[in-house]
Amino acid sequence: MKNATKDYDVIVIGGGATGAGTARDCAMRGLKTLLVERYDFTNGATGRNHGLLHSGARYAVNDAESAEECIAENMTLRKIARHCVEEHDGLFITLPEDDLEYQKTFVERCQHAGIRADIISPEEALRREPAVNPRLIGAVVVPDGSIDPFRLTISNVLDAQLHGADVLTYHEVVSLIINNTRVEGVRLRNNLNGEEIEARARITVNAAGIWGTLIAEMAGCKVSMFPAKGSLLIFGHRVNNMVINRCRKPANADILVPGDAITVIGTTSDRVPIETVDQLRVTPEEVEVLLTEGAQLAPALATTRVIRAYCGVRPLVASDDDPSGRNISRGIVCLDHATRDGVEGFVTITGGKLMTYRLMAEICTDMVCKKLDVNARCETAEKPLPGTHGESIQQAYNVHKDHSPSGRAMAGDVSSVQRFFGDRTYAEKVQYGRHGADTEKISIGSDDKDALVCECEQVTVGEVEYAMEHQMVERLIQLRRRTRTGMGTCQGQLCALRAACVLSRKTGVEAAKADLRKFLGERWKGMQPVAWGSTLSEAQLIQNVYRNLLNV
Amino acid sequence: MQKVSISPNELEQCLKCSICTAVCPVMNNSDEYPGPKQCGPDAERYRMKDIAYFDEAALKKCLNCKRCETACPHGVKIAELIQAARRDHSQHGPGLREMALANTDVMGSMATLVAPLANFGTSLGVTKWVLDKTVKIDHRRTFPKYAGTKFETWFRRNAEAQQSQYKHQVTYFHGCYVNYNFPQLGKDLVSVMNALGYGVQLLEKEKCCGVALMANGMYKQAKKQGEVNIDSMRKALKGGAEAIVTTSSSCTLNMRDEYESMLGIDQKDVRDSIHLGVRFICRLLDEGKVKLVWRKDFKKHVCYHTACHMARLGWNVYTISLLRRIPGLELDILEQNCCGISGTYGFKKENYDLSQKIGSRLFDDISATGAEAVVTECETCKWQIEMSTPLPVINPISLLAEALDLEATAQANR
Amino acid sequence: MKFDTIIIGGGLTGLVSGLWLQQQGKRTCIVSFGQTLLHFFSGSLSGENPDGEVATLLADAGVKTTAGGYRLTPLGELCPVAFTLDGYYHSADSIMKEQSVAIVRLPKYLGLPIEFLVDSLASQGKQVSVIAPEAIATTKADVILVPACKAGNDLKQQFGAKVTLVAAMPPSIPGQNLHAQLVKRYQQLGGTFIQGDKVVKSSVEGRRVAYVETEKLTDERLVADNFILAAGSFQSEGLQSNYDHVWEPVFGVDVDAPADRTQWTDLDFFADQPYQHYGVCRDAQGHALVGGSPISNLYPAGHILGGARTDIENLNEALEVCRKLV
Repeated sequence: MKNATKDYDVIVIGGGATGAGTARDCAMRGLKTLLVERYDFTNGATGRNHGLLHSGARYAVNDAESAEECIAENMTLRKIARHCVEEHDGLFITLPEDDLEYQKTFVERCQHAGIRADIISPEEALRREPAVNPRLIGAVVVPDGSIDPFRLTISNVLDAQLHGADVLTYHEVVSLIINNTRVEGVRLRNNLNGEEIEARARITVNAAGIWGTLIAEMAGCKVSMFPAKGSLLIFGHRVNNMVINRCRKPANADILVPGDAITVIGTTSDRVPIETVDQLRVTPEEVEVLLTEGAQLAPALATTRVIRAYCGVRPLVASDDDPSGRNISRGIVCLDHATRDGVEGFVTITGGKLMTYRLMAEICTDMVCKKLDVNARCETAEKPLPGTHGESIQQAYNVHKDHSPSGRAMAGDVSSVQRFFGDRTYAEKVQYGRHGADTEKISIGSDDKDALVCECEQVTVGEVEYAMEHQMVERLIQLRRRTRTGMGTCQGQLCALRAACVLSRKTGVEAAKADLRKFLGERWKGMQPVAWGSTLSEAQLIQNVYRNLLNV
Repeated sequence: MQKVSISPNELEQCLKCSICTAVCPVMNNSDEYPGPKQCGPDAERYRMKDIAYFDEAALKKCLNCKRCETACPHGVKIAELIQAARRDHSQHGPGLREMALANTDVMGSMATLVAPLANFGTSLGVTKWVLDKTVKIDHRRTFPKYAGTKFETWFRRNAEAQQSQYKHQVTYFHGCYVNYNFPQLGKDLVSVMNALGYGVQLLEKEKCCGVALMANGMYKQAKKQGEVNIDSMRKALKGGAEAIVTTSSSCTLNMRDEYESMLGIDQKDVRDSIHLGVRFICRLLDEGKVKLVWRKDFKKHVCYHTACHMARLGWNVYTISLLRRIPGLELDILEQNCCGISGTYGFKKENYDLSQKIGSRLFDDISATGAEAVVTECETCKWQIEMSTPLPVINPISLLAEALDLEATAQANR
Repeated sequence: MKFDTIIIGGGLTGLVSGLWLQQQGKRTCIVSFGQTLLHFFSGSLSGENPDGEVATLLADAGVKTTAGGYRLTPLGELCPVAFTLDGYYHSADSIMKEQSVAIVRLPKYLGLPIEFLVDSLASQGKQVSVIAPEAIATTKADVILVPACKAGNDLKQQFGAKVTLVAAMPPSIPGQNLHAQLVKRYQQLGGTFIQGDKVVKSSVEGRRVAYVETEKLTDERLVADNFILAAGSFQSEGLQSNYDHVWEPVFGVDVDAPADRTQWTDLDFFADQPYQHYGVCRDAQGHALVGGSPISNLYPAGHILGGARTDIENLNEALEVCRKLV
């Protein structure tokens, strides 16, 4: 770890996509950068959304500016973050109870924003996506996709480090160092051992998401935020292969996103007090809404096992000082507190969406460079992120994928994929889907390295060690986010103990045991709201293994 | 809403309890097979994402013994997930070897024409050596002998005419093994059924049930043959047959359960009329419709092997119930273990050693009983056990034929 | 098919009941849908005051056990138990008396948390080493531990008393073998064991179960004078749940679970979970209650009465039920 008193050009507070992206951009432009995050990356909204690679279509009708930003970033991310993205298009469906007229407006506004929007017949929609509600009377295809926010964020962090940035996780800002009306740095508390250190920089960037309002307060600045809780459910398997949206004014639970081996339905929206933001739980009412509305998009959801529920908080920013929060800014908000509040050396970047994180980072870094009188060009849209080198699975298919009834490549195309994969084992293939070209850093070929830690997700000891060495993994929750350990249907039942043992080789047994307890509790937090049917049986199995057999 | 959970082949019911991995004969004897859980419900979730995740080499090692399904406490159709994935995504078509091994009708018909020569030829070391080197059929594998006369031929010449005298009629699906290799079993079935007062008819047209074809990737042909079989059965039932009776466990399981799920043949109207002989006879006994009279001098010590597909059918309970009634029979019920051959699997050079390793536990158990014979419904188990142990293997129907006083039984049932 | 008693559920409770009844000369049948909790066997049965009867029944089936004492958990703790299967680590008191422990690390196997186990034993003052299977023959440790998985069990067969089994993550091969041994003995005594099948229909006439039918034995009525329901808890599907209620799937026996799903679970993973205690209802004589009234020949036994009971509690109660049936 670097000397706490080293002087940085910029300190970025917040390890979500925005903070990571900003750290990357700053580092790439040659600034001496420090990124600090109070827990692990993606602990906030970044790690708790649909994982939707937005086409922007949802905003086309009401917010053209956001829509245009979205589609531009959508295309950019497909280039620079290929290994984080699944490109399978999305449908906007009209059901009999919806207004088919809306579809016309929708398509027109999409095209106006530069978003491809093709009307297809209900029969064609069913052919491409057999799981879609057969009652649909209209369908539009847009370039939606899915993105893994954990992979995306860690790739940004890695690139930042590759360009010389320092990164501190589990370091929380307890106060800002203020001299007169200038922010000169941060005072940090290590949340693992309680130690406090200081770090100084010419500019401090507040990229702390919903907690940004609290950080701003530390500088005496008021940035009004209105936490809006959103809950989502994860289904046990991939019910659909295209994103399915409802073609109407945005409402609850009308996005169904496939990603890796699962499908996510979301989301809801309820205002919550800022004090509760860290203790939120999914309520039975939210579960009910998500299931009911979800089944409208794909009827199979009514009979599909739900394996987990989770919630996050959207950092909605006020567009002005109106305390009622009626005027929410939809776009990106970048505040120079010098001009706004008379506080120098302090910038807040907030608002926006996961999709536009790179643009947010660019805007913020532009402002930082301007304030530092640094003349450097943003290259984050051109340079690929680590892991995105060479071909992805998508590219291995023929470009003109024939849309078979299953929506996937015809059997004949498999040979080109098989050629691409060569004789990689199944585990290697799954790992490639996670880490892209970086899988070459994973040790394989020996009993020790090939032993499986997580069978659902094919995580080997070699992959865990890779994550420990290259992705700052010391704890199970980090391992989970980077490698999907514990994200399968068993929710950590078989793998948590195995993973904890491997991690203990680095962190020591005491820490690993405590971490295991915490992890089991965290997994349970997500299972408990959906504990019925197979998930309840699974829970009993887990209880019996850990509490009876192991006596944890 | 969320009243029930439905997923393809019940894959969502998997709780990852790993019981299937504990009973998988391949996993227990080989380091190279990831196991039923990983190849079935785990990998299916990824195959749904992209068929690039289909792992041909691994899934090929599955025996389709279905012990995983029999053991699963939640009804996940594990073997079916694996076999369906192979059916849908396998890139390798059948080679000459597969076609030869699996086309039992063709091979059988040809071989019976020249049975003595064929039998002599396949027992020769040099033949086996050639087969080993060219089409990779392991030279250590013993080939079943072919009969000089097909069962169908024998039946039409010697038994058909007498069948109409019986008040009750059943139709016998004899299968390839009885027809081309071991007509004696078919003759035993006819003797026993006649003694119970049941006439036996053959199907108008019978083809190989297709289980070997499916195992070797020839689904289209299996479907064609299956449709012929089901149509013939329909006809037979309409014509007054009270049941379609069989003597082979694998044929029975295949026609009852796999025809629809793997081949898409609609046989719902016929399925529940297909009975293994032991089930049909056992139920007649339980319902008091027939009587059995045993030979007074019958004495035998046998052990009963539950073939994997028999365990999946769940009908070994009938066999055991019948065998327990035979006075003079000392019966040891063997612990359930796979014999290792899995039909054509064990003939292939790359699988031979594994097959023998898998079966070794069963072979040891058989020796330990001190029995004179092994009883089982499966003909490929018979080949394997007769090759790997000194004991003869008898189908329970043949054992019944041996133990019954057929005359007295016929009298009692008039 | 006719029997004196039909037992639904072929786990430990079902098998123990079946063995006892067959020994009393009754004709019984066990219907078992897939393998059971024995696959998660820790090597020991939980509870206090081990019933001599259960151990005797097991011994008759060739299963040797040692009463009382403590088992070794995979995390290195000693927990009191009713009895332990021979071959597994057993200690008469709560402190491990051996001084040096060797733990065998099997290739590609992660089911035994060796790092945790080593740390735990070392903190108890033991000399701990981790060895490869090849080193078993030459190691001088007081106790050599192998995990109860397939490869570990094979080593146990090979080395006999030189190595000791310790429970690891499921599946437990000794548990599976125990199951097979009990089934074998049960069949030797004349019992009918139906494996891999489940009851899908039941016929109740005049508050008595007349017969049941299973999935695979189509159209086959299994008739008996008495029925024991030992189908286990949620993880064995003895109890089932969906979005809004919990039920017993075979006979619809009343279940003491509230309709409000939020009450089924506690938010804290390590807290006592309410659903673990849910079970079917019975009257004072042990008869199952359906719609509040007893079914006079249906007796629930085992984990279906509540998943958090000890093994011995369940087995003793099951034997009480069996005594009523002779």
